[in-house]
Amino acid sequence: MPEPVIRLEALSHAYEPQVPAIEAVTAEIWPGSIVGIIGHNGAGKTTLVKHLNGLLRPTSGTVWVDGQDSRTRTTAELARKVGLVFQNPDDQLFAGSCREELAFGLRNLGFKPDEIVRRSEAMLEQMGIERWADTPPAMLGYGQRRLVALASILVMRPPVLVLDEPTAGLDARSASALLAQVLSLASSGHTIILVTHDMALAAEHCQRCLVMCRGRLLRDDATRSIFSDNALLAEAGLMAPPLIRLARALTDLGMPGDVLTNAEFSAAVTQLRGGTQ
Amino acid sequence: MAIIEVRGLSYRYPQALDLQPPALQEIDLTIEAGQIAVLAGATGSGKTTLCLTLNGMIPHLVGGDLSGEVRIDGTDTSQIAPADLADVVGMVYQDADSQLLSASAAEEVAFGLENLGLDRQEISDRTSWVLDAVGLHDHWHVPPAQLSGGQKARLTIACALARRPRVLILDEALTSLDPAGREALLQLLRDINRQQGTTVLMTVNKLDQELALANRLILIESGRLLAQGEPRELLSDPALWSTFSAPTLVQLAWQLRKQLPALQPADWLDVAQAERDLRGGLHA
Repeated sequence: MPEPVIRLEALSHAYEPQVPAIEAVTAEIWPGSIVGIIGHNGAGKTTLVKHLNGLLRPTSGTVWVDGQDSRTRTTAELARKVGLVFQNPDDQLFAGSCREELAFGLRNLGFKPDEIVRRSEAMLEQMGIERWADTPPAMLGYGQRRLVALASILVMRPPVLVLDEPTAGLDARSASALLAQVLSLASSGHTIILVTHDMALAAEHCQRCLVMCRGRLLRDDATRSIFSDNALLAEAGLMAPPLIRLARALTDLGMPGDVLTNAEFSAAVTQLRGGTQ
Repeated sequence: MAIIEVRGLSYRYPQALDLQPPALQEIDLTIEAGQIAVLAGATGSGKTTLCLTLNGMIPHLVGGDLSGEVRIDGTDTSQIAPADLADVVGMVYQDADSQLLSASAAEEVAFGLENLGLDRQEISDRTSWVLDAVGLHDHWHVPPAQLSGGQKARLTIACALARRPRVLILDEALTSLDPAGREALLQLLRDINRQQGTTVLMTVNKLDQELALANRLILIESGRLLAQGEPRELLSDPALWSTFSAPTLVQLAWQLRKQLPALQPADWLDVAQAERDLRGGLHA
């Protein structure tokens, strides 16, 4: 019987006494899954995931990472298991070149020099950032710095990868390059946690979502059920992506209410047209 | 009347290597007073650089080689100090953390207003109006550093709005907002545009909700102008969208046209219109 890779037990955190940023969150995340953490701005999403690699410690409750109580582990130990890409790239970029930015983490993990070169060059290319390899990240634009920050964590292939608002600031092409990497990691057994308010991203890629609202876990469910529950979305202050809202507005004509992608929508229209002809 | 007029603008950053192409090349564009414009382009296409030429940061503070001409309300930006230009052009940068410095949200807003020389009552009125308008009324005393990413973005927008600039530039300032929050802010921008005639320019790397209220769309690619015009006109030409993605619903409509040829994809900027068209199409 597999163990959850992350287990949160009544996790609470307060930055200031008596003002909980997250409160009594209990959830399990299974290895190899792609899980979304969705919620309005300020719902506590980032606070929650900062507990997974030890950047924050619980005010009360327990975080289990790979079967170990996070309190018994240092941040450095946790960081080997859980790679966290911040929302703001400047919280993590520091090196003199993008190439060095990628190599740094691999060196810390004890890889040999030729392996470091091989892995970083491959990642630079896969993310489409090889032309900036020698450029200091500080001289790049914001979206470009985000790509470098993502690449520098992806290259370490951590068992659990947490991406905080991965697609914010990225254009469609960069976002799909990133997602291709993430999906390939997931298919080889890595656990992916996407913290996002990009509802289309959650709808298309996450099998399951945790819905956060004002510091509490409102629902932990299959993504399809979450996006077909208008009352839940309203309570969480969320809006389904346009495609899903359109499908749900047309259920009286026979459109399925749980469509998640353009392809599913198109297929449903074909079926409806077939039915009326 | 054109409030933003850019003619033959090319620009190269001071640290740029000789081999690198200029950040901006031969850009010509016009935005009329009172328009809501969206400037769209991929990561690294030059959106931020272009914005920085509009508020005079380029070339006054950043340096580099600029050729061509940028006029704001008829004045050549090379002839006016950025501090004076700031009274006309309000700019919200992408990175909220680099713009917030005060001990509370309210002080952050008041700081910009004190610099305009407004009296205490006016400062207090505008601060409470704007924090309310962006949904931060409960965060009056909260230090900006304790706000979430999306709340910080709202605060930077509030600071710019409170100063009531004639031109408001939002450089991907809405990307960290959740969809409901973004919708509310877009509504607010529309109201301000109507009531005060504020010209709004938003940059985006992905076309989304913003387009429904825009009456001008500018596409740039690798520092060059790809197209500019009325959004519906540009969305009617799929050839323009080979390198840059059209909004999801427009893409869906292009796809559905094979089955429902009467659909007008360019009209699918909001769910309500798409719903009306599909109802018609499916009933037919």
